[in-house]
Amino acid sequence: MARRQFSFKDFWLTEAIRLREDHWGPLDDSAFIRELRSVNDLPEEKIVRRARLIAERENTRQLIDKWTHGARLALLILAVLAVLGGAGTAASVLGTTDRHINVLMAIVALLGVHSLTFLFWILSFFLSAKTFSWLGELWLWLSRKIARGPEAALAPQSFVSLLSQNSALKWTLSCVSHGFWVLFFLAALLSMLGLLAAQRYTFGWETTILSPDVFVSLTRTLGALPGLLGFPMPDADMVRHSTAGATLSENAYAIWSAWLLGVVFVYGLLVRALSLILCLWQLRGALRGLALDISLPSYSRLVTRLVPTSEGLGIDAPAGEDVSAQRQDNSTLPFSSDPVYVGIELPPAATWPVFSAAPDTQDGGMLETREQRHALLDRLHAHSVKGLLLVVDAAQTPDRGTLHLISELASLARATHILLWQHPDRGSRRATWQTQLAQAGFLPDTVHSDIDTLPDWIAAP
Amino acid sequence: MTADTTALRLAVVGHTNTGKTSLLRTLTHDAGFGQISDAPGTTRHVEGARLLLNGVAAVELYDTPGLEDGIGLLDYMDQLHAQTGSRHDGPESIARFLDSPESKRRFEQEARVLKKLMACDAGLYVIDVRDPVLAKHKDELAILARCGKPLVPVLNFINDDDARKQDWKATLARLGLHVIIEFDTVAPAIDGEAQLYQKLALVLDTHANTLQALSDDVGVQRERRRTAAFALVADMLIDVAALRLSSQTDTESVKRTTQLLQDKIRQREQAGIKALLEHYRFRSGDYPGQPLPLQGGRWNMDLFNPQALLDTGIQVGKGFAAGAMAGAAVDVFTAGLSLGTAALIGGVLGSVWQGTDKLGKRLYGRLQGYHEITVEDGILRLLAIRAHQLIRALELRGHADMAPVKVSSEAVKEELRDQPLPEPLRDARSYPEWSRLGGKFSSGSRRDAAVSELGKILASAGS
Repeated sequence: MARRQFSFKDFWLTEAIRLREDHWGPLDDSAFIRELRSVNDLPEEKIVRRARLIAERENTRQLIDKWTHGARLALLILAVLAVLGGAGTAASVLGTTDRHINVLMAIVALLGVHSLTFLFWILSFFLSAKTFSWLGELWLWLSRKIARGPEAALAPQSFVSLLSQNSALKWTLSCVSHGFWVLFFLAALLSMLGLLAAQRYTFGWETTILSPDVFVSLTRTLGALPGLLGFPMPDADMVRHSTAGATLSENAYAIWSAWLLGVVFVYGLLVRALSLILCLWQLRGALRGLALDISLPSYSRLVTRLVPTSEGLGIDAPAGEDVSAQRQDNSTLPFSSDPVYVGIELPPAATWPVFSAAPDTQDGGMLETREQRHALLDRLHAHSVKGLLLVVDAAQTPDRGTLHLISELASLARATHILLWQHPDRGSRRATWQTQLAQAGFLPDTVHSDIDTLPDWIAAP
Repeated sequence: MTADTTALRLAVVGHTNTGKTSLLRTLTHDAGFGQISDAPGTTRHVEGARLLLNGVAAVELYDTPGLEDGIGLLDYMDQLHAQTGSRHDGPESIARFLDSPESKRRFEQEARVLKKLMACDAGLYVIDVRDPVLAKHKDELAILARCGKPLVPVLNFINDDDARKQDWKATLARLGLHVIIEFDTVAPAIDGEAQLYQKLALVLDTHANTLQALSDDVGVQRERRRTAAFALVADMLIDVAALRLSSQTDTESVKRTTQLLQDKIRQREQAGIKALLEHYRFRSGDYPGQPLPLQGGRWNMDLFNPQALLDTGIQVGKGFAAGAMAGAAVDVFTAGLSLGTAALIGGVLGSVWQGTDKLGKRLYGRLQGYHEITVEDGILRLLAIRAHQLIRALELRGHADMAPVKVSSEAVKEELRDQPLPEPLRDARSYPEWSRLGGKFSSGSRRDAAVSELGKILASAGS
């Protein structure tokens, strides 16, 4: 099968329409359904196309476009804020009146908030399904504020709902957050570079309770990673001497400033940039994996309508009239022969006769084939009988052919009785026989379900 | 090649009351097709249905009235033949009959059948194997053979004890009909449909590709229907599991709220069953006079009857109360806090805003003197087991079956009975807004994901 051919927007529209129908009930789509039914496509494709058609009619697309516009604007605002924030933080760190920089305070000011939020972001992976990303949430909130209007909530709602698949939302919001910080640190580093290039600063540390060795190990630890990238590290001696008020060589301050830049670059910019790349990569995978789950109750109903497995074709013509011959009264018919008993289409297992016949009766045999029918009819035409007993199998369905034969035979006898015989362990259709025979004009007392009720001119008591 | 571009047209013919309409119902999976009753001449006209393969018509099936007077018709055709005196081959003699006056009167139904069969590619001759093989059936086959179309016998009601299957097979073989399809329209074998199409492909080799594709599609469709059915069940279970009703703390109010909870859950089960029936295209309207066309002793037992739980072997805690309080779990203070450890830590960290919000509201409710009533695990298990049994029954049911659905209460799945509740269901406990039965339903993709996952878990537990 080909890779999915849906764009992100297709999925988005489909989700928006689905949420809309979930909340406010189904929209009228009979025309679209008819149109899509005739197309040979996968059910997913049809659902997406239906959503596109409905979205066109309901202006959902504009809604989404409007919100997308708002979201872009919100991103832009965030970006501007990031740049301003980065530059502002750098300026305030380097903006002391005496141009002396407390190294530790500078690092806390530049990396403090970032480290805390980053830590929470990492922790949230282990603790909750929902990733903690203030900035991402802020972006969503902002975009909602920007794109106002009726039903405006539908666009972000469906956006969030769609992205929750494959936890794409987590990665999206993380991307926004990391992107913000990348810009923040870019701006901060550039401003610091500019300020450090244009102005002279002294670096040092202060403490009341800690020993200088703490600072030595701290600078070493923090500088180790930047050191790998070529950033210089102040040696232990230099750190020990860099107390507030001490004067050091210009070279020492240059090393300090490079060290500070290195720390901010690695622990700020690099960490965030790498996280951003990771999140983008994950987001790409998550978006690729987007799919419609057509087994969901909201879709499965649609699938049966869009891709029916069968459809009716209607009827050829209305049903014809019932043609049932009415019996005439035969009670005065002259007869020339003894009563006859006949079995009609009895199962082969039946032992004929199924009842004990009275003396002075004739056995008409069992009728099944055309020839047997013709023979009996000829015989009765030649010698009409006083009484006729027809034995039928009540387990079978009475059909028009049999009823026609019964009527034809009955018209050749003065009195006709019918025995609804059946093998005891078979399902019975007695009621059907009784109604059908009644319709054909046989009185209820001529139709017997029991051998005991047969008249004595045919059955031995 | 050209044969594959047009739909295969099949006329379903046969003696009256052998299950022709039933065959169409089962093949189209539509219990609403035509009319069925155990009486002759129920179908009085030709009605068609189309089987679609990805939206394209693959097979057109035509339900015809039953042949009722084969012997009479053969007599009449002989009479026509004698009168014209000329020699006709089969199709010509049929055409001659269709022009005759009796084709509009006594043999009106037979004429419709023959006209349809002449217009189709082949005929399916449906046989009720409970009937004895009679001369009239052979005469019918003789008339149908005159149409010059391939005829494939379909043996119906083969699951009945007194089936005279061998008689029929021998008779058909003597008439030169060797490819015979066995297909019970009321309780078709699970692969019965696929086999039917495959056998047809043997006879109708110009349409073999279509028929093979149709046979493959049957399995795909069945799997799809099954997945979607379990998603419907999952939807119901999540609605029930997430339901949380708050009540005042006195016994009377708790009892009243519990009863409300029970009623809501009962109604939800009914709605769920209806949705499943509809999903399998058994309309409840097709079973007049019954609120739900279900049958099966214990299956009809009330959900909250402790016996129902015992019967399925679900472990019931000591606290399971009978009567008015059955199946409800009253959230005591500590239990109410245990939203799930992860959510709790999340809440403390402030990372799950809604979590903290909810926690706060519920704590507040507790201080105000409220209890929260939820449903017990045992009831969820019972709901799942019952739904499982229903789906199993519906999968095996032909669309021609007119009897109420019989649900067997045997074979309870161990997975559902003893193992811990599936995770999505446990999750649902802490999201009251996931329940349609509560006041604040809000659907979202997390609920969808839970429904989808739970559906898959349930489906795999059943296979």
